[in-house]
Amino acid sequence: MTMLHKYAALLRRAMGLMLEYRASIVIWMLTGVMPLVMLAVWFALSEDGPIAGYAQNDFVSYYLLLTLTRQLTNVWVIWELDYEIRHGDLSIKLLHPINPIHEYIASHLADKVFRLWVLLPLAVLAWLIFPTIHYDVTPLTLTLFLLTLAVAWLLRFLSQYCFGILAFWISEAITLNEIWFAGMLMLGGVVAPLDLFPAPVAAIANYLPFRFMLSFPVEIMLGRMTPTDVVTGLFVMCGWLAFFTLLYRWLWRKGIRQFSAFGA
Amino acid sequence: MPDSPIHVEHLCKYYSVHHKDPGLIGSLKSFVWRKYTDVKAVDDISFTIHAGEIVGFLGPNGAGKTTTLKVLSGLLYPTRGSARVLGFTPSERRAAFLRQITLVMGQKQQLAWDLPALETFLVNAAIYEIPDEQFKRTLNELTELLDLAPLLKKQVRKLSLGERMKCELAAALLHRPQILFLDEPTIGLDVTMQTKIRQFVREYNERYGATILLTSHYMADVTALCQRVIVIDHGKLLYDGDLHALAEKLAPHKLIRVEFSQAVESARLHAYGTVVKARAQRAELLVPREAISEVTAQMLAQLPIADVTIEEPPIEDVITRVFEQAARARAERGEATEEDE
Repeated sequence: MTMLHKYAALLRRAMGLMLEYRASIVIWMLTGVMPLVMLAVWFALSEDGPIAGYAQNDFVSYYLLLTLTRQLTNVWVIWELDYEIRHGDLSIKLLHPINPIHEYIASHLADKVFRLWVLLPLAVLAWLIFPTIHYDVTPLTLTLFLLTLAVAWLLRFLSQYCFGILAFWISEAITLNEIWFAGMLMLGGVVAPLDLFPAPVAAIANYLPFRFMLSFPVEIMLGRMTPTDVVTGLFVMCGWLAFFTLLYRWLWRKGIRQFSAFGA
Repeated sequence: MPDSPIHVEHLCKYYSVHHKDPGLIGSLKSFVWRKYTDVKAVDDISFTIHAGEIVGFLGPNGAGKTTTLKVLSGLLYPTRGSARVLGFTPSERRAAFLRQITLVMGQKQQLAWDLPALETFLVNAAIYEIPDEQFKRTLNELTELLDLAPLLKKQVRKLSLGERMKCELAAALLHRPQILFLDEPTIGLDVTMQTKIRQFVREYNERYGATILLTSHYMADVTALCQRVIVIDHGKLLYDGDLHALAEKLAPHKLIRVEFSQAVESARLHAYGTVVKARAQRAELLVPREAISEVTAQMLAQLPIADVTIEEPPIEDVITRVFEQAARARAERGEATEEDE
């Protein structure tokens, strides 16, 4: 209950800040449109017929929802964390009787609320332009979509947070995170839907964390997976969530120790 | 509340710092082989602070004041020795501990730059779990003491430095901490604002019986607020005790200020003490404490005196003298005397 109360206050302040920066958020949103570029490529390539079972319309359905997913799972915490660690501003947060991660989560949530406002009319517009897009909409798939979307965000957030914590030791944390991000673009279903990859690559990518950070919710809505695939995916996703949660906790403990040994 | 909420024993905090020569060669060299040296920011310090005390923490830049405050507020692990605050080990950063202390750093801010201060106050109310009633009452009191009413709803970035500091103090005190660590709370403020902040700190101390440990470069902050001072330099404790006793102990002289009814040659004054200043009809002399009444009597008898006052030398001079003595002692022992680290 008190945690809810704390989040309400943190969210309200974060929303206030978002509204101050609304123009820059819209500009940032434009940087998340790479899936649309890939859509244009695959749309052109599939003009003469389906590729590996993906017709033009399937590519449109896939990439439009992937764009939405990418927008709603967007994470930037490493930039703040890295700055605050290296400039010592983290000290201010460490004096508060609450783990700093909650403040960062709150500001990300506020950003998502703001993005939804911008994205919903755009989604309607997209549907008007491409009335043929098709998803496997049932109460079950919708529930799973929302659930996996939330976990996808958590995975992106926690993994980036872990990279951010590295700033306690090294000054290249952000660079390392860029490599991780590139991994997500390649193997998270942005360059191509994962089932278009050669079978051995797809087999590996299906178990890597990148897929669960982005394309898995979209795959659920496309309805191309067998129930076994979906259940396996959910288990693997939970595994990665547990992994990054534990990794975060361990790194944070070590990092704070380092911070307070070194200079705060 | 325990009688001595702050208890520090043989506290040491060493940083290992790597040295790098300037330029590309220096960078390459330090990449391959890093030379580390231990900097002793705090070196075997012990003290106890009693409930309700306001203690001034004095020392030049790099003396270890901020490091000590950071250890006490849980931001730094001690290298050796122990610090206990309200019965807690600060570095464990328990919520119950953090809710009872505050650290105000004149150079760092917690207020959100683009929002009114009130937004940050509301967030602090939630994360410190301050009951609504108490929050309203404390906010009213702080608003009255610090004249916050016209500031609360303005964007923080539009406030002046002094106004911002007042809001920072309020944000740091909303949870009514029992222990206040104030690190340069008046830095960069004009004299009027310094006085206001000082008055406020005193008020807060009296109203809530809070224990306060404060550092400042402005001696006036310390003389106005603190009976007791702790002087440290190069991480070592040089003095802990009454501010005025410090002057007596360390300044073996008093200052005699005389005004003459007619001009007196300065050569005649040297017989009485060390002449600090001599104009035709005015002079200032330093005279050993124990000789003061004798010398004054002689002067009154032998010189055409219109007025005489006897004063303690300015506390700034006394402190400067302490640091000079410490530096000399270090030099004699052959230790390095770099000023800042």
